[in-house]
Amino acid sequence: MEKFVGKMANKIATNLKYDDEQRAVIQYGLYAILQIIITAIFILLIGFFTHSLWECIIVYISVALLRKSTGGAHAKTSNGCLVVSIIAVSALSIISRYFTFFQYGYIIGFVLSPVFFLVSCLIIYKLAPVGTENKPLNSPEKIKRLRKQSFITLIFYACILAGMLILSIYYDRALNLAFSLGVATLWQALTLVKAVKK
Amino acid sequence: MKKYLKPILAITAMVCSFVATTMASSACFLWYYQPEEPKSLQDR
Repeated sequence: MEKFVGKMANKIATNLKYDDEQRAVIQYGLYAILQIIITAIFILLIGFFTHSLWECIIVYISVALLRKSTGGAHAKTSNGCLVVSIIAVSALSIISRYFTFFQYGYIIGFVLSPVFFLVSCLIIYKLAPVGTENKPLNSPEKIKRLRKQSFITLIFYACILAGMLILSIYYDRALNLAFSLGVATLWQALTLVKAVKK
Repeated sequence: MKKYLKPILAITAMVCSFVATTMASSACFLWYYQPEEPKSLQDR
């Protein structure tokens, strides 16, 4: 994928007579767009075939939104990234969709969703935001802004989670969706721990 | 077709630059691979 993105960026930059720095910016943006689209296509397909489309959408959006402000662990290669992203999001979605079929699944889900969420809040409060080797976070203002963004996102998720848990008293499916939000937040928080340990 | 090539490329470049700037102001890329950031976008 990196080679393809490089070729595309070169083509655009040559045609528009851009310099090297402008070409690098286009390559960076193009890479982000392709990464988002390709991951979304694979995850939606898996969600469609495993009948867990809504869980996939919730996990995909909630991990991505939170990751934007908290940061987290990264794969070493772009293909590794694609595989890890797809496996993680699909597995979390499938678990969220089918755990209620087990004995006491409903009660376990009702208790674990807010517990997972609270544990994630604690981890994020302690560690966020986490930079990476290719994108270190040095500016104190930026760190402050990203922390604030993380807390706003968590408050937003908390409202949705509470709403879904109340709804789950009347509709069983809402519990699957609440659980998917809980595990997605926990997963994202755990990637912070991994990134810090590195 | 050639008539439209330049405007299409210009729009693509504009969208890519916008996304690149948005990603630069974030903690990291949305998914699990973080390429090296262009110098002009660092510390945004």
